[in-house]
Amino acid sequence: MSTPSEPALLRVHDLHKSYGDLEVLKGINLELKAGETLSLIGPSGSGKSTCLRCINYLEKPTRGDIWLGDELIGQVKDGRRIRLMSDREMAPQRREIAMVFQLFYLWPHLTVRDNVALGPIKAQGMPRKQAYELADAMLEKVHLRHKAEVYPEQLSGGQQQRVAIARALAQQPKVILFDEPTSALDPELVGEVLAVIRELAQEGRTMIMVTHEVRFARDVADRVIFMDGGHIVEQGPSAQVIDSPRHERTRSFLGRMAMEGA
Amino acid sequence: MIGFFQQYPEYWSDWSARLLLGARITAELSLIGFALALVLGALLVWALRSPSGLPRRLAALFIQSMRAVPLLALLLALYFALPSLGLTLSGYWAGAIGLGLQGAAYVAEILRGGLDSLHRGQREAAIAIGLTPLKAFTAVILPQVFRVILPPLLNAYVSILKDSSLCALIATDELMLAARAIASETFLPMHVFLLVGLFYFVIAFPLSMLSRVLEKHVSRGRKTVRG
Amino acid sequence: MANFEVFLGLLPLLLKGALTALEIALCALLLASAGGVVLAVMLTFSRSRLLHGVVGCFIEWMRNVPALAHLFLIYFGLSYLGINLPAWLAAIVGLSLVGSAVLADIFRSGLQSLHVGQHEAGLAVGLSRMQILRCILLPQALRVTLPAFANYVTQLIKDTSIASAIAVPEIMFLARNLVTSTFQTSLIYLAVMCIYAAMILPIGVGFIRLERHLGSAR
Repeated sequence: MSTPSEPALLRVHDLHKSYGDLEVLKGINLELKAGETLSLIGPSGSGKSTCLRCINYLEKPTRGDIWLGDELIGQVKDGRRIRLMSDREMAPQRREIAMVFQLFYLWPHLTVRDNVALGPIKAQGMPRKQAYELADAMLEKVHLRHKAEVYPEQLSGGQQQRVAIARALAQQPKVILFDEPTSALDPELVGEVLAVIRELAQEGRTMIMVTHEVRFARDVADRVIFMDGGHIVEQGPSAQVIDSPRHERTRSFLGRMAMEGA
Repeated sequence: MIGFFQQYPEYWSDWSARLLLGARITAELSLIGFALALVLGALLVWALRSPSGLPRRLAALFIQSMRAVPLLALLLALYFALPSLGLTLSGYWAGAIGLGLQGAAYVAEILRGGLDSLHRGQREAAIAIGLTPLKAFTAVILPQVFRVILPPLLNAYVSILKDSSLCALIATDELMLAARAIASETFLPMHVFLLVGLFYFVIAFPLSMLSRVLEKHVSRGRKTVRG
Repeated sequence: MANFEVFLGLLPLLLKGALTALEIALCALLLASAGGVVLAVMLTFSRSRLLHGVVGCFIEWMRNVPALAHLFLIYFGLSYLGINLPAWLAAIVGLSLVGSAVLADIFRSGLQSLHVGQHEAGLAVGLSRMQILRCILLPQALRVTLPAFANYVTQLIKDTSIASAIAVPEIMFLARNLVTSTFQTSLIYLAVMCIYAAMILPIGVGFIRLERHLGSAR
């Protein structure tokens, strides 16, 4: 856990995102300290996934800044202007911010080990042997070392998502982003993935989770942010926001989720 | 550059008659070849689906052979080799038949793909409600298959149209032969062949585009159940 | 009348012609594959309307005009402009240009069939566009398009016969000359067809085996 006086590791400042006329994010400000686990919750269409995807610039913000430590993400000074970075320029920054996707997006033509090792080998220039050792260590962390030689399609959804987490860990990132990591899984497979995420939080990883698993967010996240309609409605320590929400909208959302047994 | 194009108005009056005649023969050849391909292709598919082994094997053998041999070899054999076996075909008919034979193999594959794409249950459902096999075929299977096979059939026609140019090499008076003759007479090969290329393009391109548009249309509406 | 002895004497020459045809096909295949990949990548990833227009025009022209016309344009047409290519080179250039248009279409649809998520996962891990293309997208696209590619290869070998029209000494050209000089018409054309079949059928089988091998490795 982090102390209150430490500066923020990740800062999102006045984030706006529009698709044509549709404004999805209407000025998001949030901060994340090193070692914190933050959870974004909210109804569909609230913009929480979009917000996450703006952080590593898979979506390009319409306005606003993302800061990782002292570094401005995704934008660079060009003479007197500030312009958007190309994907190639952004690659080193993206290595610091890992992402785990809802649909895993493992690469089907590579073995599990190759999936995890590809990033270190190609993006970081690590020698193959060292990358494979790193991959095996990460797979060990998610309890899938024994499946290293297997192809993704031979694994269950829960196993594939755990491999995706191992792949994210292999980047040795400063922050890990989780975009609804269990939403696409059969109910009986959700537990194994949540267990891995819980272990990572206990280790002191810096993470942001977008999730529907409200109970899990309460147990594992340090802070919770509730978003609705492109705004942050309420944020605070997870136990406080979820057990005793202050805003009406937060209450009605949590009430609905409780009825659905989340 | 402009000088290049200035040749056209000068020569058009000389060339137009011959090229247009050649184009007409090309159109005839391709259409007759396509018609032959359709009929023979349908027969082949019927043979392929026959319950007894012999028609199936013969049809498969024919299709395999046609696909393993260049069209030009087939055309030359029909035009030059058949006479020694007693049958003399003109360039025109050797061409049309050659196009039809190879086209049939292509069309058979298309038809087979189209029929396979239809769920077996459709036929069973049609028979179950009391339609005869023939009625089941014409009223239920064919209309659905038709939408699927139309785009590739259009492509098949474009293919045959392009292949008809090879008939020039067996002395058929179609467009390419006319072009070749004019080119050697006037020493303006670039002009003639570009112009002739344009002739083919103007017919083939709209058909290719149509095929592509239909294909997108078909794949969109595929999963709906027609009442 | 059919004279078997004379015919057997001609066989080595025909086989030499077949070899020439394979050489031409191989050169055209390599060039067309390279060209096809480049064009497919351009079409899939570029947002420039101009680029799409130009490449599109090239592909449509190549695919809607007969190969024979392309060959004549390159061999006879270019010589009018002062560029005199030897026949075999004109054949390779012509077949490569047509081939790159055909393969561009095939590879493009292969690339586009891949889920955009794979590309995103590559970006998230910090790979550059080039690396994503080389390590993730192209290997899968090639696998997916293998049947269409196999079709192209067999068609290419058959299309080398068109080069006979500009006097390239491949098997079809040699066969025609031999027929006019020896009159062993039926035997020669039968042999020619058998030789083509002997070239094409193993290639077809080879591709099926390759497909199966790649499929089982998953």
